[in-house]
Amino acid sequence: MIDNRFLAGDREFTEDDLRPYLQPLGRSIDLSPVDERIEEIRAGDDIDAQDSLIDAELAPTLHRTLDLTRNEAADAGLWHYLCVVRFPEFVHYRWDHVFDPESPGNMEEKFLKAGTDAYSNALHRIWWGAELTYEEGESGDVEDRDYSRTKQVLGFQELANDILDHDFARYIPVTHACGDLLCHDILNEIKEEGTYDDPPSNSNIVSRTTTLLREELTVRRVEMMEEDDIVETVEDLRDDVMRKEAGWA
Amino acid sequence: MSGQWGFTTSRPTDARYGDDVAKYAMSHGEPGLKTFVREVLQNSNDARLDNDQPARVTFKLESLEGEEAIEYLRALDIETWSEHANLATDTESGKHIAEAIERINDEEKIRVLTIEDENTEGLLGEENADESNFTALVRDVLFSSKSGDTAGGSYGLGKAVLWLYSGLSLVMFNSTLSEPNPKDQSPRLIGRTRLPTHKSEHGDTVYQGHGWYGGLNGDEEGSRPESVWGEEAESIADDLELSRPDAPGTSIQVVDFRVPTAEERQDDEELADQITEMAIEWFWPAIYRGDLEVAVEVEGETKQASIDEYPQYEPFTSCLDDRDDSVSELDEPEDVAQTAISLDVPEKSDGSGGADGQLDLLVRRADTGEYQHRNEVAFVRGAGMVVEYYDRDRVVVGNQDFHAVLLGGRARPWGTDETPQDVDTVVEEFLTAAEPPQHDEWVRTETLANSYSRGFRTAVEGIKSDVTETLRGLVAPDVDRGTTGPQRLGNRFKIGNKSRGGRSDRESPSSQRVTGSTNISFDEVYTHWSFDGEVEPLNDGNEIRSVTVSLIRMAEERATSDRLPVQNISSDTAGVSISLPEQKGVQVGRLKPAPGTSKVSFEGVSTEDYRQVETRMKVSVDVAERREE
Repeated sequence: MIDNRFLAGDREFTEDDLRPYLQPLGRSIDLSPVDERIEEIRAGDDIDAQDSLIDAELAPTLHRTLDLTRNEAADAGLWHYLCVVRFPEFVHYRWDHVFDPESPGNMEEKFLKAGTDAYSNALHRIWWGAELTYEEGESGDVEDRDYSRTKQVLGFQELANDILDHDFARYIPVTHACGDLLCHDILNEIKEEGTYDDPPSNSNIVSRTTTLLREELTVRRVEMMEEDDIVETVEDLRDDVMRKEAGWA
Repeated sequence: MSGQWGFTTSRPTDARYGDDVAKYAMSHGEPGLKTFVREVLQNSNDARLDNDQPARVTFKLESLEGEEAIEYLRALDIETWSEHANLATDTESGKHIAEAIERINDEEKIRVLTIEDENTEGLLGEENADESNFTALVRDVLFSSKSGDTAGGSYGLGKAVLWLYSGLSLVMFNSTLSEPNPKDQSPRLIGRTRLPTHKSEHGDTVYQGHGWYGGLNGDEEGSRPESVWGEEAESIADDLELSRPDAPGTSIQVVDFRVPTAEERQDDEELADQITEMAIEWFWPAIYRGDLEVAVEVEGETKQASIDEYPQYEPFTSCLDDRDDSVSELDEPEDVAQTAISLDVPEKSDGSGGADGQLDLLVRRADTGEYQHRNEVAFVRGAGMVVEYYDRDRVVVGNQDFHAVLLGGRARPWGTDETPQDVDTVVEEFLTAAEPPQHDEWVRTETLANSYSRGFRTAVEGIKSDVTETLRGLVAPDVDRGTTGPQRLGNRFKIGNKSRGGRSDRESPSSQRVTGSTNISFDEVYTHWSFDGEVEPLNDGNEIRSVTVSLIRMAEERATSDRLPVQNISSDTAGVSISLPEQKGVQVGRLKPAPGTSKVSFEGVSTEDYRQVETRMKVSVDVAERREE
């Protein structure tokens, strides 16, 4: 059913079309805050269609509204429903540029991936991006959560991809360290200090550092590392990359 | 009555020993319990009397404590010995020995392993004979008197393990001789220690380090203690818990037994279990043939090492059992097939020997649940020890699982009514020469090079590839590999990897055109990765045009696009040109063989890798139809 016509946005499905395939979640969630937020983002002047900032802007609302357990969020069907039936326009708005009728896979996964793949499905990735990066507020209330790291990460596509597409993302201390140490603000700050002549671009730093981190994790078990150790490791790798002294660059 | 220690003196200008050289040669590689058990059993197995009785070996583990330990050490004249040992503490090994003495004193506890064999020759030979069991085992270093062509050992190195596994570097012998000695009555008792060279307290005498326990007999100054015989020996043996039955053979006592590389001292029970299993693992052929019996005694309880208790070796013995009912195709589990593999033994340098020999390969299709040692080939010759388990797991991707035994030399006709032929003896001698000091593979050795003429290398190196080829014929589904895809198209593929420390040798099932093996491991000494491999086309009509080796950095979940530069690559295949071009800015190794080359082997190393993260090798091979030359 999810064919090129659908992926191109020429065809839509209603809940009735998919009725035979739907299963109830067991509780109802009012999605209107998400609708409203999407409206606002689309109406605003400062964010263009297809910009990764859309993810950053939508994340807090989506995550607060869809107050799912991780177990529920791991169910791919939920995300298929949300993308295909409930928010297809949003998926198109955010991802139309990846659609290629010759190889529709890239677009298809924005609608249909999910489950253990935090990287692909358009809404799943935003929800997990938030889930892995937010800070609980003092009260513990949903309203009191701090999503500033989430915005840093999801607003920087390279960083979001490099975190969400890899296994280490499942371990919160690593995700947080990467988010804190590799976001634009921090990288720009280091560059302004002028410690390194001619450092690589922020995207390069992120992609190189996370690659080195993944390599490092072939010999170290991240769950066995103290948080300080994780922070230090990421910091060291990042500084190596900025010095271009990784040894084989 | 007890014996006493005497140490050989030497002149100040003589060579000094920090430790025993042979110990180091022996400890290279794997000085775990395996080396010990293999060497000890091999020594007894080789000394078996030429009758229908098996050689019987009993390992007795004892921990002596308190008063018992003190009595024992007194009988051992430990005071004299300690004085010398304490003078040698300025060397590494001297220090360790001093620590061991201290530990024994503190704990008033000492572990002693006695290996008692029966129906073996015993320590035959004069005290000063040029060549005898006695001199070989007790006196000489790196001499072997084993001249029999079926003997397991041929270096005289194996006995060094005895001292290596003694924390005090001290070993006692008590032997009942198989042939009467003209002068003296069995048993014969003597001890031997190998300490580092040391000076007397006042520095006026230099002791070479070698010491003997026995009776001081000679009148000459500096003569060494000699064996104690007869009743006197029996009485000392009693005090040393070293008495033996009245049957020919030798009891060897390793004082303060320990596994040099073990992380912690294991308890006796644990060690006993390991010894039993290793005896079966490496000597099931000799045990199965009734040539060898092994038992382990701990706290007065004796346990016979029996193949029945280790069913994982039964698939191998079944190969011999069912050899007479062998089939041509392995249709059903437990079917056994046999094939001959030819081995052309070249003439010896003196013109003798040389023969068109044959090894017999028995292959048994595995049953479900028989997963241990699965897809391994046990290499065995007449000595009855498994030289090597050759892992051919990757030969069977998608094929039938199996267990196999390769019988060579005097072992070739085992399981049939035949007896070994002259040609089998020639092969036996050749295979013996092809074993390195550890006796754990058949490879090119110095002994081979010194005693055989040209062709020995092809012969010995061809064994494994012939085995692989033969196995493939027996366990692979019957498909015509020549018909896949246009032959003129070069074909790229990846072949397997060995990850660090692991044994995950595997072959990509898509590698239809080429076969081979690769290996990569991290070298802690030079902080680089070293790798080697061998590739050849599956189809005889093809040849290899080029081989490219690159080293890939692995990440948590999959390979990255990072490469580690290849520093160096070499090949012993004739006519190969070698280059180190860059691919995506990183140096890779490339081999271009001469036209007509099918098999290419190579080895090399990476640049220094200070990050030491998981790295694998990727081998791309261009194969093309053989050119008409």
